[in-house]
Amino acid sequence: MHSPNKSQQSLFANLLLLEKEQAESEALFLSIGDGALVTDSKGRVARINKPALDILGYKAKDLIGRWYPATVVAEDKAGTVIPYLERPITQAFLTGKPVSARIYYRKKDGTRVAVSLNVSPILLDDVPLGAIEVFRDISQEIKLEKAKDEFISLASHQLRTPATGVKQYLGIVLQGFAGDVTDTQRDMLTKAYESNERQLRIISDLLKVAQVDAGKVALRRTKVDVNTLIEDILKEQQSVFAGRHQQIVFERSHPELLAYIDRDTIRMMLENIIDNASKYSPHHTVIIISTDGSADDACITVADQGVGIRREDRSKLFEKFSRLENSMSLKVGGTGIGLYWAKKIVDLHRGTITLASKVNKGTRFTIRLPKELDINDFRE
Amino acid sequence: MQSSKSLYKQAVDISSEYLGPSAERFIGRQVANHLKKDPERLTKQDMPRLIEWVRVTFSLLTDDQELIESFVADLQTLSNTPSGKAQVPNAQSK
Repeated sequence: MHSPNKSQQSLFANLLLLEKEQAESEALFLSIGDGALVTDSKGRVARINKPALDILGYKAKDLIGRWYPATVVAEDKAGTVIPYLERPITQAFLTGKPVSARIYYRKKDGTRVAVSLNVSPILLDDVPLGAIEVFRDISQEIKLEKAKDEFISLASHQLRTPATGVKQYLGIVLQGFAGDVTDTQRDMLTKAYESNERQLRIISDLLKVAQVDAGKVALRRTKVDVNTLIEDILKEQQSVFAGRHQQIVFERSHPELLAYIDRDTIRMMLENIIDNASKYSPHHTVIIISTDGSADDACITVADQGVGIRREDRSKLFEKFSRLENSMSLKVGGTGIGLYWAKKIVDLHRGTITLASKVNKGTRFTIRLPKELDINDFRE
Repeated sequence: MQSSKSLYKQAVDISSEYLGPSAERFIGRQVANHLKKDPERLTKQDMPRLIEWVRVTFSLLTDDQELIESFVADLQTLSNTPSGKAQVPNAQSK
């Protein structure tokens, strides 16, 4: 018998190496703590790990080789089946980027499970081969969130009534309807009135968050000129910027930028972003607001020359009650729910909000809002 | 006779037969995101790459392989070279 020649030896060595790499990759895939599922280029389930099977209540043989979109049905919060075109996995292919979402999967036994997922296309030399979806069961988190939201909503309602009463009585006294007020008393009462106003603002913010978390924000979307909306906001906040000696520059690429949005909530969202840009910037700086439009989106950017946001803090920025530490945070104050609420409103519009920042140089927020309504907007 | 429509519009027309009103969004987003260009500037040279993406993405909308191949073959007619040869090696004809 001939012994293998050099090229055969090299081939065997490569095969062994390939087998080792495959075994390592398999072990790595199976060891992922979250559910993980791989689909091939035809949308069929190619691999699935045990946590994924446990979450979905299937056995591997039930899923391997089956067409994923029809086998594991995806639903929204209301229990409506998410159309194939809107499923995160399809969106990942449409955009070519990873997509994160919170959806519900219908389990084998017919019950629903809430999952948080991240899905990415698998590319080889830029050619799409399939997708990998990693997901985890968030049922417990949702229960806790719901309980917390209910508590916040209840507490806020209970707090608002007496706080509003205090405001009315303080107003009556300050206006002199209850008799003469000395200057010292007026100073004290004015401070009490201002504190009470702050308290009411916080309660109002808490209620806004409770509403959005409970899915009780109903958007009334109409065609709105985003440029005019921004001009209105800037006009209204002019004195605030002037008080901080800040210059506001508004640049628009088109005279008109129409988008189907809910005027009131988008206005509040933009007010929040612009106000933050101003509050977290020193005096005598410039804030540049610009708008642009693509075929699909209206794009708004708000760029400041403020304190900036550290890279490690960025993921916390849109979290509820998140307050980041920086050189101005103590002075500025706040509840840490403004940006959380703002992102929720942008999400409700199926838009995006992103940021780029450099510490002590400034932050640029970019908000993209779809110009047109989506089929899903009619379902809500 | 050569169509006066842009290649993108022709691709949307073909896609409409398979996707209805979602066709423009389906094709437009993929041209913009994968080819990084304005859909109206789609060229024949871009078609093979676009078709790769369309094939995989459409496979998440239907499991009907014949329909997928039919869609791909129809799109391939837009990428045919003057000699009539298709540029996507894996595609089957309708």
